[in-house]
Amino acid sequence: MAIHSPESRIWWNEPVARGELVWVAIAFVWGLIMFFMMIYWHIYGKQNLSAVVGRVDPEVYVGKVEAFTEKYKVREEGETGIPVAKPEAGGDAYMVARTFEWWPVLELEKGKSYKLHLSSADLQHGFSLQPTNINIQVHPGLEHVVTVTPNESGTFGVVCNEYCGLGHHVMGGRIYVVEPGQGG
Amino acid sequence: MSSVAIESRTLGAIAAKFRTCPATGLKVDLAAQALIKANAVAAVVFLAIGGIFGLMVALTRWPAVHLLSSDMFYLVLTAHGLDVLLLWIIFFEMAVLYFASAVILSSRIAAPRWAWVGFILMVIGGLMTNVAVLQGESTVMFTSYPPLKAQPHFYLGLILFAVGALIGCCVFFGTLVIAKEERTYEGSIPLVTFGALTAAIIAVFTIASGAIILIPTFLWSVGYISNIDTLTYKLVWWAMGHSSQQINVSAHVSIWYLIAAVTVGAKPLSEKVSRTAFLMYILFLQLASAHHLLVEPGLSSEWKIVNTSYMMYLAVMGSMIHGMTVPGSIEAAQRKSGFTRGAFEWLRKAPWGNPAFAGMFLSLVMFGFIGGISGVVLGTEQLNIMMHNTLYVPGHFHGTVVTGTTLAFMAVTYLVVPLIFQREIIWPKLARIQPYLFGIGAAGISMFMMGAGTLGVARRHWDLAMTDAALPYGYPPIASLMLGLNGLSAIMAATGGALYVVIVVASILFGKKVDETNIGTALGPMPQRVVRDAVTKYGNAGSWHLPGTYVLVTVFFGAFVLYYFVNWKYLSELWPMQ
Amino acid sequence: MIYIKDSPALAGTKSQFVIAWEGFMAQDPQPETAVAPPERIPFMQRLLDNPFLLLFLGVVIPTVIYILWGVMEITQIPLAK
Ligand SMILES: [Cu+2]
Repeated sequence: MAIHSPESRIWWNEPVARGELVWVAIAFVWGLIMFFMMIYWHIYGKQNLSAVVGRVDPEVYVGKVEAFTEKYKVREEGETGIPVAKPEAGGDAYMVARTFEWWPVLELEKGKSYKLHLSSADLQHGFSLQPTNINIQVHPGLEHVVTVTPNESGTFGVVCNEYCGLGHHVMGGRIYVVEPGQGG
Repeated sequence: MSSVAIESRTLGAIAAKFRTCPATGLKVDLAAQALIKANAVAAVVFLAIGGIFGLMVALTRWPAVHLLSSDMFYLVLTAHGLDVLLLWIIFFEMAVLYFASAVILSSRIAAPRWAWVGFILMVIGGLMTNVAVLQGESTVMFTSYPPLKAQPHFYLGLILFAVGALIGCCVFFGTLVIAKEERTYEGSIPLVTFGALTAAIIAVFTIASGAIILIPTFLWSVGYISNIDTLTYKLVWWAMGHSSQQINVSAHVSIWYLIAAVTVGAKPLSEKVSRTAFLMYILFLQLASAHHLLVEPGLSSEWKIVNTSYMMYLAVMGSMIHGMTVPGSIEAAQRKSGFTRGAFEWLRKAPWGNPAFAGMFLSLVMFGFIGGISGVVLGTEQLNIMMHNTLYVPGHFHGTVVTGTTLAFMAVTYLVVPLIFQREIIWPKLARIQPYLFGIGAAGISMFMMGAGTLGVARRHWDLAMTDAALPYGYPPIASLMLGLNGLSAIMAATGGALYVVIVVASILFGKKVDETNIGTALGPMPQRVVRDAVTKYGNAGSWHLPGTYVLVTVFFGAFVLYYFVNWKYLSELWPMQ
Repeated sequence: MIYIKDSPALAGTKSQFVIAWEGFMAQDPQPETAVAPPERIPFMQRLLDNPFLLLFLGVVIPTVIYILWGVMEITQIPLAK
């Protein structure tokens, strides 16, 4: 009985039934499979989070994003006139999270790779790219460089999914993915 | 209890008063009994408060209802996390620790005065943090990630609560020492106590981590420290925030064994295997705090993989073992009692009308299928990219903490009320349906939130439509449906939760007193165990034959493998990233 | 080990519950396989019977693998280019 002490003093040497041992073995092997699956995906899989990260002063980072936006701005949109930047294919793209916006809007080409820089100007935010459903945590003071290759064209929303204060639910952003050579 | 049953023992300079439990023959230290009562009552009070907050959250998420304003929603969500995830659970766990040490070992409790000091600190701390949240200046969510800053008394309350809980753990360890020295048991401690020991060990790590990070954060909030590193905070905070849920797992697994023992007379299939499974928890379960840091910049994949996998999934192996040995021990016991026909007569004729058993078995099944499988998938480094901070996360942990832990704690309450409060459960017919109402509602909450999370819906988010955003994103319409179903499930669970609170409070206040004449019926319906000739055939290693359990674990394993690889398939369709 | 039938409170008053339990508890008397001296208790059982050693392991392992390793990595994050 589980509420009484084991009946025999030396219970460690009691035999274990086969069925139970088989289950333990299955659980152990399955654990190894799941463990090596993560390593396998690092080697052969295409969706792994980048480890490129550096410490940066939030104000310095905002300066970098502004310089980037100035250089690559192709238009403005929405009531707020938020700039849309179209970086060179294969180049760097910057986005800053701050209460309560993702800035600027990016326009990327399908099938091209970009070094997407993410950081925050103030609090922690959550970069949540929809509907593809890619979610990355964004910290102030940490510049994270993720190499992404959009594999479908369309309009993608960036939602903030880390609570960042009372306006958290209005914090949106956008990424356009266009066919190569189009847009702009 | 009749006066003859009270026995005084003077041990050294300390006098302890005992009564003998009429059901189990265990000697119950009256000081421990009072502490168990106090902690259990505090737990139920915070469950009631936190449960109401939870219902309000779900009704706000339901787009057609959208109950609260955004400010109130975030405030109430902060309070909900605090009251149920921390206060309800840990108060109840203190009761479990005292029960599993003093009562099960028939020992006096160590330092009952200190235990009361701990209890009072926990009450003061819990109230202080609640007040801070309700004042409206500490809407920082349960996690309170800096640089988001709460009022100082928000952190101070949590620190006091943690110190109180740490004292409770010390009392537990002290009681183990006393019981051993005074030889109140022979050989090794019972399995249930060993499970509680596992919970207490994890609790010490949890609380120490909490102190390490909350004390500097408190000093930061009053201005003595200028900066808290956001990533370090998160790392250490989750050593508390996630490990506290591992205390729950250890405690509720222990309760599964306890309820199985009391209601159907189940006995562990193998002490060695079950204890080794708990050992895997002790050594590795806390590492899974990394589940919350898988898409964080600044931590290496090596660190992420080793930690998130609980060291090659050895702790998952522990859970899978319990997932087999608990139903297996029930099957063995039922077969001994004569329910031997087919693979499942033992299960069909289990005491489903006993809320303790029904709650326990539902908890076992739903913890495994809903909370367990989703937890492993969510905690896989790359798969987490598709789920981090979406509603999938609260969906998953409502599967573990609500359908698993809370339901198990509710179930054991139906034994604690007659055994410790010595009252009969009032309205047994209502009590019969309570676990089903609550369990199915909670399962709905869990699964519909996971469904919405799979569609990308953000957690802790007031407005699915993002109406006031300059650049809104429109989630697919089926997300609204998911959140509506989540709201309906929450109403069902809240009804079951309210029923639980009302039954427990009414039973304690007005239930018929329990003594040796009615203890049998007070514990609820039990299987008639009369078939003696089956007794020698089952339950030991030589004649171990449990076809029903084999079927159950095979179904479980199939679902696990399938769901795991389906998610890898989804992942492979995402934008390539490196 | 505490058997339910040892309880003095039960003398004469046996509920159905208790009878059922007695029936269960009375089964297969354990053949006393030569009372082993304490030093023959296997290592793993001695480990599992030692709450403070388990406490030590259960605190040190996550502290080293999770917290210390993690903090070390955080302190080694370079400056951004
Ligand atoms: Cu945000």
